[in-house]
Amino acid sequence: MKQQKRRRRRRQDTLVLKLLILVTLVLVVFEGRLIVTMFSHHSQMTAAKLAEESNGITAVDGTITESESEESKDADAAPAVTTGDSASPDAFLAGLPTNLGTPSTGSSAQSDRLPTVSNPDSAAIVPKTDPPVDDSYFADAVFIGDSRMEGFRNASGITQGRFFTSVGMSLSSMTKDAIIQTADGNITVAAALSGGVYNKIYIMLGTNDLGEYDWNSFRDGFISVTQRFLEIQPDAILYVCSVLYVEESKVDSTQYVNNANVDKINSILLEVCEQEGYHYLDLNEFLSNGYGSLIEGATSDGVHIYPDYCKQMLTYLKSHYVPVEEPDETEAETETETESESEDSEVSV
Amino acid sequence: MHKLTVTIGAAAMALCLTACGGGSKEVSVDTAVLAKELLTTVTSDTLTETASDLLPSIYFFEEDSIASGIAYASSGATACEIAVVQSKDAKNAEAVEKLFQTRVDNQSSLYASYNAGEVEKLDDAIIESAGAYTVLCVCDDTDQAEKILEKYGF
Repeated sequence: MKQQKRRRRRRQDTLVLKLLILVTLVLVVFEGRLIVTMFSHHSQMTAAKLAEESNGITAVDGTITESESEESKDADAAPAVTTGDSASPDAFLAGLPTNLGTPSTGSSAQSDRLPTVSNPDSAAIVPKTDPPVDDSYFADAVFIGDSRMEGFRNASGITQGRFFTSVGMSLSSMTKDAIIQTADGNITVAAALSGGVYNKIYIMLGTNDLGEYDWNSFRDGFISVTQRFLEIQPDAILYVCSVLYVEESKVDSTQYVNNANVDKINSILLEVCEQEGYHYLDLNEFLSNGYGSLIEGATSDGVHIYPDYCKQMLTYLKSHYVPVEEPDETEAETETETESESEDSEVSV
Repeated sequence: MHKLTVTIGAAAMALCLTACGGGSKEVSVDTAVLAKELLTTVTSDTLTETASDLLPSIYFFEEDSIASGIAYASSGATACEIAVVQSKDAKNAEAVEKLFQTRVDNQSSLYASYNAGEVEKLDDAIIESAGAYTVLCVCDDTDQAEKILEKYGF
């Protein structure tokens, strides 16, 4: 009897053990994604590896090809590197480390992130500047750009500045078309720019030019139009905003609108800034997922960023600006004196 | 009999005047509440309240003529938008309506080459006034928007 009881107990124990193993297996298989998400909050490296394992949605080398993009149509359901919860202002901060002030090649914590610019050491890139400015800095600023800039105007909470924006603005339309709204109809950007005095010009252009593969033509055209703007506003500082990355899985056609083209056009914009003495704002510094793409869940359509990210963009602009040195009073006085002395000496001669 | 005819005629005239004077009727609206309710008619985009300081440069109305205004604007993906403006004088409402119409016309011409699907929404844009209040509503559900406006006296 005792032996039979022991056998029964052993059988029961074995059964329980088998059930436990089965439950564990089910958890591992079906809750893998949960585990991936959990780990992604602890370690960027771990998250990257797990994301790679899980359907290879994000190419770790940052080069997202069209075929990969098509494969990732269901990326929303897959374990993205970030949480993608746009409702929370800090949502994108939770997934991957972001560093609003440090250049992409900075600390070791960022060493695994792909650089968002072609030349991270470029002097044209506007670094983080302390202290951050407030909205009054934009009182004499004009913002020129496409629908993404318009979204920034609408959703960032910015209260100062003039916006000459237009949906679909491209280099071509910015140069010659009547696309800026007024109370009397649409006018050209140059005409709108002539209507006031501005000391800062912010330009966000390029998303609608991603299909432009004659990049030299784009470069020449961009230089030409910005030089024209500076003829109209000769005292203005010119800031060139980087083209924001896109979420390829949500874009209707990635033939043109893809991150490889974004990187290409941004490298041109940076070169132009270096050549012409403009100032380059690397907005992808905080909008990149670290792998050459926009943070997952930052848009509804892959292109236009949600309000929380517009607010982050405003924060970025406030902490990335070119300080204008006020002329020192004593220096100014000395200069005046020197000038008067030289005038006297000229007269005496 | 003559007196009766005159009375009926006077009553009819009064009714006509009341009906035609929609723009000057006494209406009191909480612009923020109305705008938020109209927001429910937009399903294709995430609209955000735009800083009120920027509204004169978007809609081109004279700041001095406006008592208050609130606008919810698009992320840039669609033409949807909602604006509710209270003029200081009800007589200014017609001018605001014209500015809203200009805005819609400008947007239509821009969206035609950018995202033609949005032009339909702009074609159906609602621009209505009640007293000193004027509303612009470009949304996905115009029937619902009309019902909401009716409730508020538009």
